[in-house]
Amino acid sequence: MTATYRNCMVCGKRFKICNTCLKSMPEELQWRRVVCCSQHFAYHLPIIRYVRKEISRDNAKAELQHAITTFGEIEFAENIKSVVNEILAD
Amino acid sequence: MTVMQIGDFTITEFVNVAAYMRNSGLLDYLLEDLQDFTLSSTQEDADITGRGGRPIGKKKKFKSANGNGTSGFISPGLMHTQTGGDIKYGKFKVKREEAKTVPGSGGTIVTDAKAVGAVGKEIGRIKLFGKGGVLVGVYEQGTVASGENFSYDPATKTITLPNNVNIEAGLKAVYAYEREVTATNINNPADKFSKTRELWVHCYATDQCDTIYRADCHIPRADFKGDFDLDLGGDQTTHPFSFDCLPDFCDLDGDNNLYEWFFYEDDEIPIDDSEGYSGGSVTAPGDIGGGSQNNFATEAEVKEVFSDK
Ligand SMILES: [Zn+2]
Repeated sequence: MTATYRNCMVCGKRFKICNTCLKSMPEELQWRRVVCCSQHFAYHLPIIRYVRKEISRDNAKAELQHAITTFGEIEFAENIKSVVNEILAD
Repeated sequence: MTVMQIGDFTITEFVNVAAYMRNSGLLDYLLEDLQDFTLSSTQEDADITGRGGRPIGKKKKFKSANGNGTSGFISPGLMHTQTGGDIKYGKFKVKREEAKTVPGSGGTIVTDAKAVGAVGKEIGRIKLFGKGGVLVGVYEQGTVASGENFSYDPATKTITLPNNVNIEAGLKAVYAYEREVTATNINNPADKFSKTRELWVHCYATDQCDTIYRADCHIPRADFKGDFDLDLGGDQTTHPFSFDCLPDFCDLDGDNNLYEWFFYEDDEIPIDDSEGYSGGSVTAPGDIGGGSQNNFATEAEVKEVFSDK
């Protein structure tokens, strides 16, 4: 079977999806299916939860800022730049 | 009480087969709608020969009995005995695929159930098909809907399609997802094997004077086989089973029976009024005698009946 690739939902980088590893982790948190590395999952969660209206903009902003402080500034994928700007706006 | 001996008779009706746990004697399951049931007995006779090869006697050996039958319902309890697997009741994830008509570029589709999975990959991918099943496009799930990505909101079960000129109204969107259901789960593990049960086959017998007797066949140690076919599709799916009768070495009386029959007129439970006779009663295929009305065992029933393995 050929490997399945997709674009990281945070940085847009192409990565190899793993659907079978990390079975011990709750499925919702299986980052290898959505982002290129575990660090980018920390950026991914507040963004998508804000889009889905599961958390407020203030909470999303606090969580996203925390990820940026912890793991550093990154170049966000083109299709989420506007929502990231919306979250981080003053 | 009168001493009665039955003459020639015929078995006129099956009532049911009850399976009991070997170690505890407790009821495991009941097969109430049997289509057929056969109990076969065999013995091998070898000639004992004398001068010139003439037979002077018989060496009798390999006495055995086995049974097979077909249940009109698929029985979880029976399957558990055949596979050695577990029966569990609880929350499970099942996969589902859907094909829905696209309302147009940037439009929305509501999934029939709530998709679960890694946050952001609940649906993962959508394939769009045009007339004649021609693949028009494949789109990945994104955080937000864009030119190349669709988004999904599990709370509202809503897919928002990409804004893309290639996406026209009338296309078929095909996608799959996992959802969580509360289910009875029966499995067939590769490393577990079929089990042994004590069986009571309950029938009615009629003699030449039309007297109706109960006829109970007791099989103390039925070793179920792991081979069975479930034919899905077409006609009614039935549940076949077979077993070998083994001598019950656990029986301290040491009567060594492969099976035994009991024939009796019943003063205590009038036969005409009892379950099954003349037309038969239709009961839940959940096997837990007279249990829930919805044909599935409740969690408590499953726990009670199957905790004793
Ligand atoms: Zn990334």
